[in-house]
Amino acid sequence: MAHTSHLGEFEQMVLLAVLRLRDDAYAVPIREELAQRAGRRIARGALYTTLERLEAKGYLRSTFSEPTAERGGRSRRYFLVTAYGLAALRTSREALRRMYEGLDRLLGENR
Amino acid sequence: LTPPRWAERLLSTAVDPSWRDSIAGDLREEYLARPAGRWRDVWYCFEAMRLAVRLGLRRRPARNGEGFVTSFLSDLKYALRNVIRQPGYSLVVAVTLALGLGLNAAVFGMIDALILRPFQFRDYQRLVILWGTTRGGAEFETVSPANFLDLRRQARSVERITAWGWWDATLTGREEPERLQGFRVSPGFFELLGIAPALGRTFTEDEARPGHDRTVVLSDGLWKRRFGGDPGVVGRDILVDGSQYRVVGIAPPHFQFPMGAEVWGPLAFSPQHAFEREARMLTVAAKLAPGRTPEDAQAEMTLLARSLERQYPEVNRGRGVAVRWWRAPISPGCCWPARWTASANWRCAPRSARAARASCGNS
Repeated sequence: MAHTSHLGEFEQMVLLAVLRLRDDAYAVPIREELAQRAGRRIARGALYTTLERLEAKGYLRSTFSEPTAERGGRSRRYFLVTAYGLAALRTSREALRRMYEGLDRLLGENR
Repeated sequence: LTPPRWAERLLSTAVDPSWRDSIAGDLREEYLARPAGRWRDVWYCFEAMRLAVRLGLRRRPARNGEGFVTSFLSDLKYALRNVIRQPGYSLVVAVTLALGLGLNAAVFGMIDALILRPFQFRDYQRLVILWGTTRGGAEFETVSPANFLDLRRQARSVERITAWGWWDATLTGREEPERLQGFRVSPGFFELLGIAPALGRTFTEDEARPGHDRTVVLSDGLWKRRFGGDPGVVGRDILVDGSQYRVVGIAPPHFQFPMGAEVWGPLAFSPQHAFEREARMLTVAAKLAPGRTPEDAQAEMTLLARSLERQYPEVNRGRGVAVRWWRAPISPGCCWPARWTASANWRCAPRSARAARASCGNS
């Protein structure tokens, strides 16, 4: 079953993109969201692999829409962040926050 | 308005079924969002192939465990690491495998030639080999030119008596010189076996005369390998053993009798050879005359051999002639059927060799 553990940077971004897109979170807009907001142009294959992994870990859950003619009679696969996914995001954010703590002046000088 | 079907099929085939619809649908959606034109199709094909490769390699079967391709690649890596780490052991394994596979292929080739697919010569049930014998029939040997000519002239129970002898031919004049497995065959050799040339003709009686024997028939393999399968080579001169020989015919595919022959020339006897009784270098075959049995032929050959013994006692004393079906054992002490020497050499040896080479290469 799923465990609440630290997430990789890309996994966090994908989960955050899914949260942001709310009811419209399927692969195409997720990829656009990552490109626009995070400036990351990622390969489609990498995104599907990550989505699959996050779902297998229990951080995401997917549902299928009705098939549409526009998609050649195929469904969209929408994603939702599960409670485990939210907990993992919080844990990762907290870990990062602790790591950044006390480094504001140093990091500010580098900017 | 639809993406290239082959690319869509490729993607659907490569991707895990649980993701197939969503991924193919997403890509189609993006395809329709792009400006129409040829570049859109190119873009789709490129992206579909990228996805197929990336996701196909990670594809997992329905059950737990790694996908076949992933598992195969990791096995391959593991094997290569072990080969590098233990080269001596790997060499022993490779040699053992090569020998095993080669032997296996050879045995199968023999079974194939002897049992599964026997002779394809026409009327092979009537084909016999005429062996010279010594020590009252205890040993078998080949036949001298003069004895062959006498038998051919006098025998009535058999027809189309023909003979062949080794010819170590060297093909020159084109590319690298090449040593060929050749045979000098008497006219009627191909007709005896019921083999018609794929191109051109076989040898005429006239070509069995010294000075008229500079003609050759090429095997299909040699023709394709050295002459690119050019039909124009028939009627052209080629250099064999430093002399010009005219190509008169091309044998049908796979015919390489006897002993994997690649080139055949006419067997012409000079006056000196025609009287040669001591150099026993010819294998003699014949077809039983209609209505005659091997026993009839044997009775006649025994009489002819006695006659030859009386005429030339110094070289034919104690010698006889044995008639054997190509299917029959060639001697009481030898369980290899004569068919082996004919069929196996023609069909089995080259095939086994090829299979063995492939096995060795693969292992």
